[in-house]
Amino acid sequence: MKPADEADFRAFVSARSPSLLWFAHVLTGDPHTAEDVVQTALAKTAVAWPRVRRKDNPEGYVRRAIVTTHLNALRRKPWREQPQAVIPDDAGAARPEHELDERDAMWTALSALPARQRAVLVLRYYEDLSEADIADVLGCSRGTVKSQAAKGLSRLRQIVEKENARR
Amino acid sequence: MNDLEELLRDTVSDTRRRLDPPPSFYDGVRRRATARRHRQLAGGAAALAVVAVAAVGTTVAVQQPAHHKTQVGGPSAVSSDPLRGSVGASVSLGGDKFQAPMDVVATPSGLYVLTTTVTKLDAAGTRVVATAPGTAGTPSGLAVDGNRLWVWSQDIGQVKLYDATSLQVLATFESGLNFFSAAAINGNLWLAANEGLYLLPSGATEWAAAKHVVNSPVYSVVADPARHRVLVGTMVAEGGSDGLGGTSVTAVDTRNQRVTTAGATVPVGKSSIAVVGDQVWVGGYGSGDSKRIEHLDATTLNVIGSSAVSSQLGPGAILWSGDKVLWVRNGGDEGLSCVDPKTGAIREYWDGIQGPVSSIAGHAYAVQGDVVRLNLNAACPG
Repeated sequence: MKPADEADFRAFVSARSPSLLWFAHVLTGDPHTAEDVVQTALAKTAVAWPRVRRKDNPEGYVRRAIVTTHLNALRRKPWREQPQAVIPDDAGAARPEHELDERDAMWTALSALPARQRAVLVLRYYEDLSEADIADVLGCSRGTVKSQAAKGLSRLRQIVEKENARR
Repeated sequence: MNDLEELLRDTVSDTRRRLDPPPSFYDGVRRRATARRHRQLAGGAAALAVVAVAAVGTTVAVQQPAHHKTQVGGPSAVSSDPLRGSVGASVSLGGDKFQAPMDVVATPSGLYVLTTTVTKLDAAGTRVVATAPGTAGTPSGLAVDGNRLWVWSQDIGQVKLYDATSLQVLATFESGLNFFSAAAINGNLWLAANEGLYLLPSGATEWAAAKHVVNSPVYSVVADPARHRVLVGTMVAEGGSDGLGGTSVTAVDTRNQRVTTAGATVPVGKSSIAVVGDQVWVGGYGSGDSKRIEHLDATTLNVIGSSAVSSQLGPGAILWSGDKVLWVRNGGDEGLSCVDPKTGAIREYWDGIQGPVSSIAGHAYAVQGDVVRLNLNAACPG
């Protein structure tokens, strides 16, 4: 990479890595896996950076790389990255208690979904991608995206209701 | 948007889960990018070398009598890197891409593939001959020994025993554990779990019959039938890589279930072990410049060397025992290498192959949605 590209890429990583790590954390359910996936996705991006930086949305490129990296890793050895829903004890102290409980229950439920269902829901509700765009990212049909989203939401509802009843 | 969808949107946007990159984050990105470039350059350099040889050959041919011209050069030599592997025919398993391949085992009687279902293909790997539902939870791996086949779930600890010919379920075991790996030998199943190593003996009909053989956390287990033992990757907190710990490979005698040898700690976590003939290898995930793959002395289980593939790996390596070769996958990216188990030399590699791999009798198969047959060169006997 040329020095100018290197400096530009370093600045991009510095500015956007918290956001990318957050996205990956939501996607994978585990902070360590998130860091691993983001580093790999950024490494792929670094190799293609002179081309990627000219795109309208380089961050979108990296987010897609994060999704495909994560799902590819699962295809290789799915059980090697086991999501863990860990919530810091002191998190969100200023928020209403009931709101935290609901979000914690939803986070737990989200972490319990199969990775591909979670990917569909994260791309839909975090990235606001259309069904067609999600299908493009995941390399599947729109119908599959639709059915996975429906199954995911249904499963989430079941888990959240169960979790709320337990708390 | 209903309440559930609003809650979901709020949850995935919840700033409490914001992560800040650690100080070494950018260095990690650079190291992975460098390893990726090296792999690309290695492939490109080898291809250029072949082009150069072909060009020299063509020059020589021009200077030689005409009847020698047909012996050198040629389009196939110019267009291929001698170590770069290609793929042959593929067989569809049906379903969609959400059915991730979890495991594949090639045996003399057939090829077994695990997704959410168990699929048996004929010995040539050309057509599906039987299917059956996998375990509950997330079916994660399979092991075959003679006419017994086991499938296990990592997340809920269910194990199913099948007849390997008909795929009829013979028994179901509910352990409640989290399994990482399993190996079958002498009709018994050995399972690696966070709680230790378990032996599910042949003839068992319920999990209560399982024996707890090793108490410390175990990530990997592989059969070493020639030495009547299983090799176990014991997780070690000290002396390992950041956050992942290290691994000590331990031998357990399959006849008396006693630990016979414990090797030194190698700096990899999430280990996988491969036994190919009388050669033993361990691989896993590491940090910094530490080796991701190590060659072990089969007796002491201490490190005696590494492999040329080590410099081309990203954050980690995943190993499989081939029939006569060691299979090594880049743990953070695509990339599969066929490695000489004695010298560690790379015999063939594939850039775009994903999913698990298995080989037998000169044939190798990868599963990445479909079953893909790998074309093996003469130096990679599979």
